[in-house]
Amino acid sequence: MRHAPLAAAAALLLAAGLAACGQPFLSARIEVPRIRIVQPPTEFPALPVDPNLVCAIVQTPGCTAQTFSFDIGSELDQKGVTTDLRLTALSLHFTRGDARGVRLAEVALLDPQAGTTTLVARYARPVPVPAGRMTDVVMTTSGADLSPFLRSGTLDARVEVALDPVYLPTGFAASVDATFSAKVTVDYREL
Amino acid sequence: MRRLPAAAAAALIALLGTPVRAEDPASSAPAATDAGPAPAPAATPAPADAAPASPAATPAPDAPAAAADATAAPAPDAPAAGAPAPDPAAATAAEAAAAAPDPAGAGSLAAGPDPAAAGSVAAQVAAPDPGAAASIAAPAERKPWRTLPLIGVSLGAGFPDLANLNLVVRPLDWVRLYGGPSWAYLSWGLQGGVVLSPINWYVTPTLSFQAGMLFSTNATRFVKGDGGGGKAEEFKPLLQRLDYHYYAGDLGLEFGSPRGFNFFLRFGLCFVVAKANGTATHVDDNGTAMSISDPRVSAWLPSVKLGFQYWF
Repeated sequence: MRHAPLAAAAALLLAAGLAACGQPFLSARIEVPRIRIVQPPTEFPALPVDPNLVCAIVQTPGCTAQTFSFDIGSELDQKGVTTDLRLTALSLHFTRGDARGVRLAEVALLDPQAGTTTLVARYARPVPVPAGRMTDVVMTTSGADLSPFLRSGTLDARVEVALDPVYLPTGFAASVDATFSAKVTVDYREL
Repeated sequence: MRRLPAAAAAALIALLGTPVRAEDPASSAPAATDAGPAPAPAATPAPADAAPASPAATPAPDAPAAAADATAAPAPDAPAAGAPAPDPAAATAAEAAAAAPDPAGAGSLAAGPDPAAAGSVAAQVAAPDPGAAASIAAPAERKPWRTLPLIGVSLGAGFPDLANLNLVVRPLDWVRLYGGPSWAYLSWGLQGGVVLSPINWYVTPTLSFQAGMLFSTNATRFVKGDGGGGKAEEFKPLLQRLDYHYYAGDLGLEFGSPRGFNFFLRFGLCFVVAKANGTATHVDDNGTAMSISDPRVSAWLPSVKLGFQYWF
């Protein structure tokens, strides 16, 4: 009974500590568990003429590529702001063509510092090939922190798809549907 | 100057509860005077028939009658017992009392170096009475945990809670628990905490901890949208259910009576968490759709409170 107030104070301190768990002292944090960006449908030609659309990662005949930019927010590129950005889901939603024609798909991000690419999502067609027509390609994501790839709040991604001409003789059109989670921390001491 | 050591001796005797004061009757008399509000009858010479009254010398701690027979009852609360020592009548009575086998009345300490009296002293030292024991225990008693009022109310304003009204309970002088409703413009809420005040004076330093929350609220009424699907309209879904809670730690000062009315001012830090529940979608000119779901903002921010409280 005598120690009840002390216990209450300790409980309050513990609650405060737990609430701030993982967050630096004197900081603000915005956590968004789900940021979904859906690009408008884009054409993936079966035989790309544009050299930029020639696959560089997927070294497979019948491969086509596209580039996308995901604008997360230019506010992230400020002094004192640190970002933890992760790709939690990525899919291609077909508006033209049969998704069974995708043998292999990979998504890579361009590192603005090193000029290299890093694989962040991948898909391989299941065996045997599904019987009915498919409209979505759901990719497996790496779960890595993508913040090093941010440039002015934008992620530059390259999607490369190896096609099966049996199902996609003329290419396809699809929108890229990407879902991210983000934690943006502003450290007051670094402002 | 002589009175001071005598008073000290009396205080020591009272503390120890032993009847040694009679060994120095000359000094014990003024000591008895100094020692406190001695009952008047104790200073009066005992009547000749005091001996039969010796049962009154039973060492009851508060009984002035014990001193009436000029015996030095060992109770510390009868300091006047030694006063009538020079009185022959008293000495006679004391001797009579000493001669009597009545141990309770055997406190003829005032009689001086009477062997019988000495024996009675030894007897009393050997068998300390309960009253003396009580007087020993009394100074060792703990200070009450709470000497200040138990219940109070407070009204405050500041950040992170805009305004609050509290019932305050003080189980210990240095600990206060409080709790009550709060109002933060967006919604009503509940909050509470603990205030530690190691010093309670007219300027009282405090260390306080607080936690609180607002009831979930729909804040879309505060958005002045154009109704045409502008950005404000797009973000309205996020405001349909807002959750808000906070924790604060403050150092403060209180000005005023710790028993009555006082003002307080507290500064510190708070950890605020606000969470929106819903999904907002924005479509740009290129047709790219971006949606944000369930964002949560948490921040360390300054905390400030001012208000007043009243103790009943």
